[in-house]
Amino acid sequence: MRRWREFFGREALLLLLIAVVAGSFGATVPGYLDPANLGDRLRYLVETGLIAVPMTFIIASGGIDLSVGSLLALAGVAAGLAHTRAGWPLSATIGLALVVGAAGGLVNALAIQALRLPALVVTLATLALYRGLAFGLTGARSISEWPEAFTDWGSTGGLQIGEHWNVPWSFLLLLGVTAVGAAVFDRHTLGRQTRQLGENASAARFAGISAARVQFAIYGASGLACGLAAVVWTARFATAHPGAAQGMELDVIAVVVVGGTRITGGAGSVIGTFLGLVLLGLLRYGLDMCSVSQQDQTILLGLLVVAIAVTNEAWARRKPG
Amino acid sequence: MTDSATLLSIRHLSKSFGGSRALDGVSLNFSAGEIHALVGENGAGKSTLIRCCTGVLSPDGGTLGWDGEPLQLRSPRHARKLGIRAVHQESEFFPELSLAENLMHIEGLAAGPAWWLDWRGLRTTVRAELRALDLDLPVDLPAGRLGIGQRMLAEIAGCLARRSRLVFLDEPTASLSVRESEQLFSHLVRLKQAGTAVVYVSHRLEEVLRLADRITVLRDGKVAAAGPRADFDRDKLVATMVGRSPVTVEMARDAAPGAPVLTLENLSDPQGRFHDVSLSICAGEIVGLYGLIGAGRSELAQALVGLRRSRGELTLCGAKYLPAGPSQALTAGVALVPEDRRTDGIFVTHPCRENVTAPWLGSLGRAGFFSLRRERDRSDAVARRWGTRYRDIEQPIGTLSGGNQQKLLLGRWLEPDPAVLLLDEPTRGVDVGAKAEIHAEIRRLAAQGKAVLLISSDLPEVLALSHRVVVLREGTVGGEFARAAATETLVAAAALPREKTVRPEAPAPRERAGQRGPTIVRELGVFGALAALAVVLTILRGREFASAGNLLDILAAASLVSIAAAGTALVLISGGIDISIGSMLGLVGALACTTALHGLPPLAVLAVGIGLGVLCGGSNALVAYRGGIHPIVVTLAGIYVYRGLMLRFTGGYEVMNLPPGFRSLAEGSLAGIPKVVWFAAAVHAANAWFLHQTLAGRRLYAVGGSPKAAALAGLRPEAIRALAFALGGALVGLTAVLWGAYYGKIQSNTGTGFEMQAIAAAVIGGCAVTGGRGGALGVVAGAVLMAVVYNALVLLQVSAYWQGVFVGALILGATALDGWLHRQPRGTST
Repeated sequence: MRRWREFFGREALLLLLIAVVAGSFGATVPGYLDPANLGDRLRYLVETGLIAVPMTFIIASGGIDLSVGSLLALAGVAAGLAHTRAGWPLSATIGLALVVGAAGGLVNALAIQALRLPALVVTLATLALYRGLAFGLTGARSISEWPEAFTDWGSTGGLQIGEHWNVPWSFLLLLGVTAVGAAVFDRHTLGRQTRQLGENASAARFAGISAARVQFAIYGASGLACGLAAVVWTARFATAHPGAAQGMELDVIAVVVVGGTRITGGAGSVIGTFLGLVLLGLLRYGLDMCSVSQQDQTILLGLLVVAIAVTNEAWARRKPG
Repeated sequence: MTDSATLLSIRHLSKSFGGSRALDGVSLNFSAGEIHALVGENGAGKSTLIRCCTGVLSPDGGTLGWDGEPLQLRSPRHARKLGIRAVHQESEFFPELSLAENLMHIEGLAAGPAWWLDWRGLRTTVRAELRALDLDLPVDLPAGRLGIGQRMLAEIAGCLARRSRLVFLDEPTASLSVRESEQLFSHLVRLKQAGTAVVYVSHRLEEVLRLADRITVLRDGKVAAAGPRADFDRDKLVATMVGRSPVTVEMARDAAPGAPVLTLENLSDPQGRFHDVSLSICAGEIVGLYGLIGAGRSELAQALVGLRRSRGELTLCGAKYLPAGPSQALTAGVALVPEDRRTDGIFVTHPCRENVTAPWLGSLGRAGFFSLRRERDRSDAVARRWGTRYRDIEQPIGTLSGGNQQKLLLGRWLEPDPAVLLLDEPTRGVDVGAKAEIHAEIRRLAAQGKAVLLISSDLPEVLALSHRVVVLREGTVGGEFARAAATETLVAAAALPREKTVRPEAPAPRERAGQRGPTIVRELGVFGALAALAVVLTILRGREFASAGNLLDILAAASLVSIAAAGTALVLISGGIDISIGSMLGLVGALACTTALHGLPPLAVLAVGIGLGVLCGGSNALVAYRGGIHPIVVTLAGIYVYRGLMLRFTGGYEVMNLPPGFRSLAEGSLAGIPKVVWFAAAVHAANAWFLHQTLAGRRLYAVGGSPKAAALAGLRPEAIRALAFALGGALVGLTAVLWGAYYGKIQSNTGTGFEMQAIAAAVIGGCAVTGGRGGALGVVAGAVLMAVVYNALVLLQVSAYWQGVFVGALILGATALDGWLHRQPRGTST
């Protein structure tokens, strides 16, 4: 059936590339395939991966969210301030991070819907706004007093599988979120309506789809994911810093684009996004092992995003209908 | 007697869309110095004919001859160059630009040299043109504020002025008052006397009979009758438009219709598309709603499912019916199949399955999760029930023929078994076979007890299917006929506009002084806010704020941002966006200042910086517009690519110890004013000149405001946007060099966040992120305002860390304000 052929198109290509990258680096770089290293590297994927799930929805709807990095930082420092200054227990501060994240996302949605502003402008403005709030509230200081159990969970904790494999808890969290996200994208009316909104907003309106409801849901979810990512980030680095996650929006969009979602909207795949995440993660891992500097990696990433986005467009235009 | 010489000869012209033939072997001539009327029902082929003759469409078959030579029209611009023009209600134009400027772009009206536009001369020319038609329209106001009628009259004045050779007028009097119509007629006569061939398309037969020298009647894409005016009278016209050999149509032997299901009482549209419509549809009844384009039928149908607000009483099965939208309407049992399936119906690239289930997907499962298997089975069943020809329910609906797409759409809306069906042109663009199948299904549905409202411009279809025919004329009910009493002639006649429609004159908006009236008001507004802020700060901080030293500091800080913001304004006005300019600043600054370290003279360093900036900006544009992806993605990547390249180049070290010769570029003052301020002043003066006095600059506004109109006018949006990006890059390069000279060094994080300030300055100054608006003056005001805000933060001892909040809030606030200001209702309604 056509559907299977399409599935095997993009996702199969990504799996192939993953195998190629893993194989090439594995063969040439000692220690690349070491389970201890690999397992630990999975940690690096989590924050980007968590946010990339709702970002897939947002881009498929024809929108964009540039404020994710800033919102992550804001949620993190809000939690940090509550914990250190107000003495809140850990569970409450985690909850606060989620609430702050969701609130930030809903503010985006509100501005887009109620003020009728393009998502581009709104999230560009909130990128600055949320970052400014994070810096202002903390005076550019980081918050590093966190309970050991929390930071252990984030930096070394994981599920021991057999003798060699230790899968970080945060990665399992990511798997769970991705699974839910994929289920919603493929099998829930929200996912379907998101794509239809991105494909033809007018036809969606005539079909009774409420753009407002969809946008509140997806931008709100994006904010919530930022809050969750903030918790994971803080646990991993044992620090909440207002400058955290600068450039995260590019990482997330890169992953979504590599996963096959078109920037213009109307189509997408959460599974593709996840595979894109793994592919880019393996690439970065290999480059790190080869001592390629961070800035060089960033250059490569930027060029790659653009190249893949252009290819996505060209490929989609070639298809009839 | 008219002096006729055939200007445009049309031989066997044919054009098909999908399955249906819009033009089928049409042959006729348009002669100079003659008013030739073109008459026919909706769908007879008139619009298609006009579009083929004006270069908008290329015909599938047949030939055109112009002045005796064969003619192949390449584009509307080509047609216009030959002197062929069309005036109709939906002409593409630039609503934000003045009438005079619209004519400059669209008509290529001369306005002095391209590097110093003569606005006064242009206005005088346009006013003179309009005066030739006794028109007194404001040539300075944004054209969007004019009424459709006024715009059309202005276009016609243009035709007269430019001695057009062939002019098509499509329903010109539909939006004109009686007085304006009379004016129009006298000018058409003048046009004719000047030798122009005038083709007048209208449903107002009285006007046709009054004006025309020759009349051609089109029917079903063919010429049904043609001849001199004397050969026709009103009855003959109607009969020819409509007349077919009486076809015995299979009329359903219907049982007496049941109780009224949906009742409308005095339903009116707040925007005036329909008013005081009362009718009711009974169970088992098909009510045909006939009318001309613009009569308000689609709007009425949309109001019945809550897509438009309406006033009046709506009753469904005896209870009050207030649908909030199509979803609620469907739940209540009312479904609308919209008119234009391409724009309002289908999701072209999505599978048939998803298209069929769109409105009721949630019912295929629980809590919003649906079963794919159930969806596939249901949609497959729907498709088969309607006899759809398709390979696989998964294939993209765009690969199906129009008829099959329509069947799927009908299936979609009928699946939830609504009690009331509103069908808007259900067989438009559908081949004969599918049409018959759809007709049969509609009859079957009525027989099952559904209440059906059939909106159609296809008179035979209306008469074949309807139990009752209601005619909508100019927004209200113009006639109602029981099937037995309805004939084609009666119904068609009832739909035609009456001669003496008293239309209130659209008040001409008062002209405001100055060509850039509205923009200047907005820009002055920013200065007003600036002044207010300055006053407040002087009150709060007295000498600290208001001292010469502090004020000059503010200006110096604002200068650098404002230069880059001027570039940002260019990009925004043209409809693009560049958020990489902060990193661009760092990269270009590092590279250029390194050349200074190696002894390059200051002016050469400036040239290097500007050149590099052009390179970066140009690359951004190239990738975005050639690659087909939105500039936000390209420039987002650019932030990191440029920053990475810079770090690679500098190795993380600062570029410093710059030679004093170089530093003297920006350090210090000249005549008491910091040098950077002088640079900024020069840049803004040049920017103002470019944006307001050069053709290239005005084209930025055209492309950013209405890309479609720009493309039709022959401007090249991609090239113009690339120019904007390149110029923006040049200004960033300039800023980078000055930055190095002023601050003495370029650090690894130089420029971080700079793009925000530049965008904020531009947006506060009045640039719309969506394009088409903004000005040089506003950018200055915005940059100064930002600098004052930052200064205020320092004076009020607010930590600099809060700056981001202000930038973000200002961008949001300014954009929201602009959005609100520009959402005011315009004079037109299409």
